[in-house]
Amino acid sequence: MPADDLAAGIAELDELLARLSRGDTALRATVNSENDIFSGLKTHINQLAEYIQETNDYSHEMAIGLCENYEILSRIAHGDFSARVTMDSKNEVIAKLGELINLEADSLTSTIFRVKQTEEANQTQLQFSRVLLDTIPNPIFYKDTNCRYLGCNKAFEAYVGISQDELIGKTPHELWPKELAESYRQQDLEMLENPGTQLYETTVRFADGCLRDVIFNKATFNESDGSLGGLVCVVLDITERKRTEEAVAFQNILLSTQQEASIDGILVVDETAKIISFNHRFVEIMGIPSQLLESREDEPVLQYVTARMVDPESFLEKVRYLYEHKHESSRDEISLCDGKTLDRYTVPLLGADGRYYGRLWSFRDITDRKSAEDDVKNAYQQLMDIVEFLPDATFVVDKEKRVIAWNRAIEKLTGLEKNEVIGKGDYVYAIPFYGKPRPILIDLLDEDKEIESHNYTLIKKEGRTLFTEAFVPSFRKGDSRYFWATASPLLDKNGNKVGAIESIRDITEYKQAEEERLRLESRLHHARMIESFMIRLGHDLRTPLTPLTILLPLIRKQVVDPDLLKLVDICCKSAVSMKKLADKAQLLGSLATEIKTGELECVTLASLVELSLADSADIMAQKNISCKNEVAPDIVVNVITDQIKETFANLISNAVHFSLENGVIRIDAKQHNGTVTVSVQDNGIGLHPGILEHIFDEFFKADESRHDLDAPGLGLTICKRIVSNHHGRIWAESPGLGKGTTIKFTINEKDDNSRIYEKEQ
Amino acid sequence: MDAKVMLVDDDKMILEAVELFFKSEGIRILTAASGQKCLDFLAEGFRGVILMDVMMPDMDGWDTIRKIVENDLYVGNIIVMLTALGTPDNKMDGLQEYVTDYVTKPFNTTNLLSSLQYYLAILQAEKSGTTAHIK
Repeated sequence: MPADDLAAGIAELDELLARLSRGDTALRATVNSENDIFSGLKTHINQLAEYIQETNDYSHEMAIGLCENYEILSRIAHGDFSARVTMDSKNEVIAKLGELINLEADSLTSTIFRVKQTEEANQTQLQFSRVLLDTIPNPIFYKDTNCRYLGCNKAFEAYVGISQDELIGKTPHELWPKELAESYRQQDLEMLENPGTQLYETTVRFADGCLRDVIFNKATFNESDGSLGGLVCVVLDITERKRTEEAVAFQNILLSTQQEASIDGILVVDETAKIISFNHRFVEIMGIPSQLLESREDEPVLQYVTARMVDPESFLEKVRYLYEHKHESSRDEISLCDGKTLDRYTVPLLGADGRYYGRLWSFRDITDRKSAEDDVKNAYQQLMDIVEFLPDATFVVDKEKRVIAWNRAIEKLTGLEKNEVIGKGDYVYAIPFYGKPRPILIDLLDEDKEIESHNYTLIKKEGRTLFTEAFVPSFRKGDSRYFWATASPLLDKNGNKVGAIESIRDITEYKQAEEERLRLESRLHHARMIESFMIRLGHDLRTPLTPLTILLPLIRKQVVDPDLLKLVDICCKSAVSMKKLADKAQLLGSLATEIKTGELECVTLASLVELSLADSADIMAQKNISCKNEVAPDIVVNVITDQIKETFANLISNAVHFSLENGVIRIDAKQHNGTVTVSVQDNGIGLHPGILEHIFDEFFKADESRHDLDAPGLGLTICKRIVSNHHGRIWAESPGLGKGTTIKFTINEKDDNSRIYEKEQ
Repeated sequence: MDAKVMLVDDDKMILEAVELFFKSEGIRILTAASGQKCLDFLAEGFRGVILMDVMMPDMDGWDTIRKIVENDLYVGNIIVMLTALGTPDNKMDGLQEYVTDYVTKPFNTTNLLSSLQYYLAILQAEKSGTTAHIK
């Protein structure tokens, strides 16, 4: 029983008793309800009051009786239901009253007990419900039929951030934003009109003020009397679920967009080989009709694609293999009949637990790349062919120093064939040169620091290229050889080293020739020095000779002593010889300059010989030597007339000098292919074969005496210089000592266009 | 100044030898040991045949000819060059028109003498107004 009701009942009884004790018998207690616990007592007081009114005579006794039991009544009225009236009164009225009071107290005591029992049971039930509600994690609230909140659980308090005390008795409009509240009210009203259950999505303002997506699961409840009591609602927060759903949707969009944006054709099949998805590019690359793909069956698509392959059998075989070996990936190049080349890549779709969900096929059109690769391969092959046919011994190594090219020339040079070196590293290329593997020039390319000599007689660097000259003491276990080598790194377009090339040339012959050339050059230089000195000497002799040649004849005129005269004659002759020597030396000097084309004249050779013979008539006469000019009169030569005359003068003088008395000199000429070979033959002392080559050297004399003042020893040297200036050749022939000598030289015949110039006499 | 021949040479032995030779032939010559001496003789009035050595120190034969021309001393003279090499050199460019003959050292005295007599005859003829040609 509610304590308030008890207190109200006690207060009312107290009031009634007070009025009654003051004699107000007109008082009447109001009986409110069946549940009024003091209703019986109130009725008794009402009866007592009526009885006192009716039996006015006993008013005094009544008042005494009342007073006697007043205290007990008061105790009962104040809740002491154990109070009992003493039943020993002699006054009948009072006794009757006491009996009634005791009966009422007993009844009251039992009623109170029952009420208390019920009250406790209700409290327990209520407590359980409360705990149960608070234990449920979902927010729960309930409302009465006026849509006012009756209560909620702790989850709801936490969810909306409002305590139950603040909530109870409030309408949605007092708590929530207008639109939300209105929506709630509409839904509530609809439900109250049609009791039962209701499920719908809506939003709720969360404790932090944000709106969250929820599902309201609502049901109506009835009072004990069966009337509609209100509604209860369980709230299910679906914000996270919605977010997850949106994320999944986004992922799907992302994937499909990626698939469509891919330059590769993509086909995805599930574990039963049914097509899950494919992109536009796949259709385009394979040229598949759209109706084939609509069926989503892999088999017809596979058949169609297989038919387009250059090698359908192996294509199909590989596909079957991969469908059987679900966990394998594969990458292959496949060729289509239309000329396309595809890079096919396939991977299984595997879950984190390894479960097979299907397979992804990716096809990339690499036709252009392939074509470019082929071009590169062709270019590479061409380069290799070029290397192969290079005249110099050449080899190429890759980045790891493995030989990738070994050309014919190096095979020939080293005796090592391609199959013995190609693909090999570890300085295999050095073995033929040094008999063992060791670094050679190509290996020095890697050294950034200044290159040390490394046993090379010469090494230099131009840009990235190294040059060296190497001496190999025992090449192929044989002769020593000189090699000239160049090595250069091979770089890719980014400047990274991808290999190196070395070319080796055997320069042994060249070196020998070069050494010979240097030796000859040195000799030539020496000869020029001597010649220069000689010319200078010849020039300088002229000045002191001048007084000698002037004065000696003057002296001779005044000498009368025959012996002295002989001595003076020797001096005169010596002076003349010195003058001749000076003249020859001077001539030799003048011949040092080359002939210019304009200086050449066309003359008949026979007339030139005649002139020369006339000049030499005196010296020939001294020895009674006859000379025969056998030169054909029609031979015309292109020469400097004075020089060829000088040549003949020298050759005749020479022939006379080495002829015996009454000797014969023959001069002849032969034509051959525009060249005239002239010969001056004597039947004199002849030449030893060993000196034939030396007779044209400066100051060489066949008799080696060098004391013969008539022959200065420069005559043949002058002839050689003149013939050489005319681009001809001069040489001597002799069958041996005592068998005469023939000097031959060549000169050019006249050109057809040349002007024939007959020397005027 | 009655000498009609002048020899210009820096070599004293040549000067003396040639002078002796011409003397033995009855010809008096002037000897000049340098180009400057030659110019001095010309300035003093010498006119005749000048035998001029090419190679001389300080002022060589060609320099001397240039000075002779510049000083208007050429007219009435014949110049014969005495050369050791016998080949003309670069310095003669523009001056060779003043040179009548070249004689190579060592010279043949007989030939030189006859040439000299020929040139002297020409000079004599020019002086007397007779037309003469130099070959």
